[in-house]
Amino acid sequence: MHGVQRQDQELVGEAAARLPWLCPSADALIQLTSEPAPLTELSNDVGLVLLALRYARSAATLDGFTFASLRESVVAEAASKLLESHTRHWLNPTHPVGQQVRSVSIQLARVARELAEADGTVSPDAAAAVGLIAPLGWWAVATMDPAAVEACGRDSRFLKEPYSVQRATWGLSQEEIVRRLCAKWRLPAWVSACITTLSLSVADAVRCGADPDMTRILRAAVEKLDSQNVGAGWLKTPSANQQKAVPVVSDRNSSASGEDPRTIRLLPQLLRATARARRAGQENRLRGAEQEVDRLYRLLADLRDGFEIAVRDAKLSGLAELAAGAGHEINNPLAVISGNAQRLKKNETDDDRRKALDSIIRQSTRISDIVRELMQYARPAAPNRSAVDLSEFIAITVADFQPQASVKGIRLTCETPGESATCFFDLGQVRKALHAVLQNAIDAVPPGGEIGIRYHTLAGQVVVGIEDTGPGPSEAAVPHLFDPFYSGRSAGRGRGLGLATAWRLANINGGELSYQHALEGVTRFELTFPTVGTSLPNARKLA
Amino acid sequence: MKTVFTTGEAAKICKVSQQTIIRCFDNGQLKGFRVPGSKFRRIPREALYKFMKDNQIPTDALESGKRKVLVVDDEPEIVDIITHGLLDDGRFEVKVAANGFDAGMMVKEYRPDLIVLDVNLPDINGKEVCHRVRADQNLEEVRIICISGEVMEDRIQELKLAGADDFVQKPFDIDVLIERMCVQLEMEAPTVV
Repeated sequence: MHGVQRQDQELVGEAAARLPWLCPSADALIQLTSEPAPLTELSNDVGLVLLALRYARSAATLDGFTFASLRESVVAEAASKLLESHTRHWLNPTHPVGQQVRSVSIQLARVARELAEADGTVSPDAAAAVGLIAPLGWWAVATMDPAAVEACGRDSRFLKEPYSVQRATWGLSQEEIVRRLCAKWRLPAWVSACITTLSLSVADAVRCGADPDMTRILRAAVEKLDSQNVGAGWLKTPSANQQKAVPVVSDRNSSASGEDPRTIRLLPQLLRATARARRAGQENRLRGAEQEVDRLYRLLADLRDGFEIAVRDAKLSGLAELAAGAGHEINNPLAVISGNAQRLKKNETDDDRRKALDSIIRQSTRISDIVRELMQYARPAAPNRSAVDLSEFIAITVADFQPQASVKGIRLTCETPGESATCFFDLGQVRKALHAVLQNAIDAVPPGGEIGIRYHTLAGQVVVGIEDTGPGPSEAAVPHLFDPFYSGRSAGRGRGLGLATAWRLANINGGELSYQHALEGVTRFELTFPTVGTSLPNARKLA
Repeated sequence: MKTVFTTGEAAKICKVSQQTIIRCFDNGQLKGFRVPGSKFRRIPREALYKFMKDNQIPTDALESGKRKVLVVDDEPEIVDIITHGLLDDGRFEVKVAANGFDAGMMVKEYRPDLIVLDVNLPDINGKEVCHRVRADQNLEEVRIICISGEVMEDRIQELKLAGADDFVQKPFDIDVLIERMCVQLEMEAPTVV
């Protein structure tokens, strides 16, 4: 006997998960036909809210949903069709189990609404709707067999392990039933993602698509009611304290008549008429659609951004790994090549041979330098920042290049504003970055040309402009200017890893290096850094 | 061959402190002379040899008069280059270990003045070898120069923290390596040909 009964109860969960729909209460359906429909009362009816979530267009998104969705014509129309179908199921709200289930839902909705109002991150109506239907599995089980709900509560292990008791008595847990119903009934994702992931951590729930704020609010509501012994153990969250007494719930403020809506004559026709009237006023639908398209575009853009940064980081870390490995693998043979050339050179008297050996030694060192530079680009050392007087920094860096410029017959000038700015960066790294940009200019500018460097401050940023009269990069080369080893550069400009490393070093020091389209015949790079105010007294002296 | 030693050089050859040499010089155990017109002590080779024999100090260091270097690298061609460079210089005596384990054994037996240590060994890594040498009080006089193809700045810093006295990047100029060794051993830099 016992075995048979158990098997029946196991079927309850399966049957609950196949529930065709949950019929709204008669009160709610009648109120729906009044004009205007009273939202406060209607919003407590699980069956009706489910219809709105499923059919109302405004309920498709979390941002669009309010209880005014209940007034959409499609809701009344769906209700009328439901009443006329043969698959209607109804939970009698006057039955003790019906009362209990309804009360948990309404209180959860109330607390979720209050929390959302206080929190301000999600709409209180949406939070109330999610709270209301969160115990959907209990509704479904109670609709199929109220005794199965009571059987769960009687089990002594229920509060400790609600889900395993549910599985043992129903065959499925409340959350598993909810998941099936959400899919079957095609509830919007913003609702289902929250109420089908309660047993996961918040982070995992969010990964499954749940809105983080809604998730937080729903869980807080569940835990608050749990602590008040309202529906304790009904909804399991990872952090809920489940060591509470047996749930005894009764919400006296919410009453419902026990009239079966299926027996009221003319209600379907009335609802259809309401639907017709409402269809006439489909205000704001188009605007809603446009906003939704905007939102999707924004989402896509955010996604793209994150994706590009992720790809770049992955590339850099792959490159760093390669360079670190290549360091060992390449430098050892280079040491042998270079070392043997040095040995031979010692005893070599022939000038030609000595030159050749010198060249071997020099080129070995060059390969090794490239590997080291690659490493520096992919994984530079953490910056060791200090306050730096920018005018002084630039003047000294430009002076380093003066001899090279004059040998090549290039005029190199530098202008700094009267009041110097102070930046906070790794002096060595940023000097290296500026060196690379200047070297790039010197390499590109033909004799007789000019290179100018000047800076200004703008909205908390210093912008250092480096301009030269050399040929600029081609249109096709611009997006790749800072890629290591890009081969399509114009002659002389951006050889090796100079610009790529400069970009990277600026980046890790909180700055940016960019190429700017300037006047015809002028190539302009900009290095920007945040300032820390003008001229700190303790700015590092460079000389 | 060197025929006269300072107390500092004698201390290094005998592997005792300079104070000990001075004490033995002053109490007559170690014969020698003072530089005319100053107080500097000088010890002739034979006197030092007798002193070492009398006190059962191994005399091999004195016999060659050369500084002892242990080269540790698993790449025979690199070992060759370093060994040739050091032997050509003429002031060094060289022994070789191809892995960390052998290096550990030979440091104790051979008692080198300096170890040229490749960081990437097939068994124990160079950092660990540094640690082990530094943990042994008897070996505190031993200088360590690490060599490596390592390109990561922070790993090079780690090596120095582990007790390496200097670091030379591969590929290296053999003359630069010898120069850096001379700095560690307080020797004169070689004259480049």
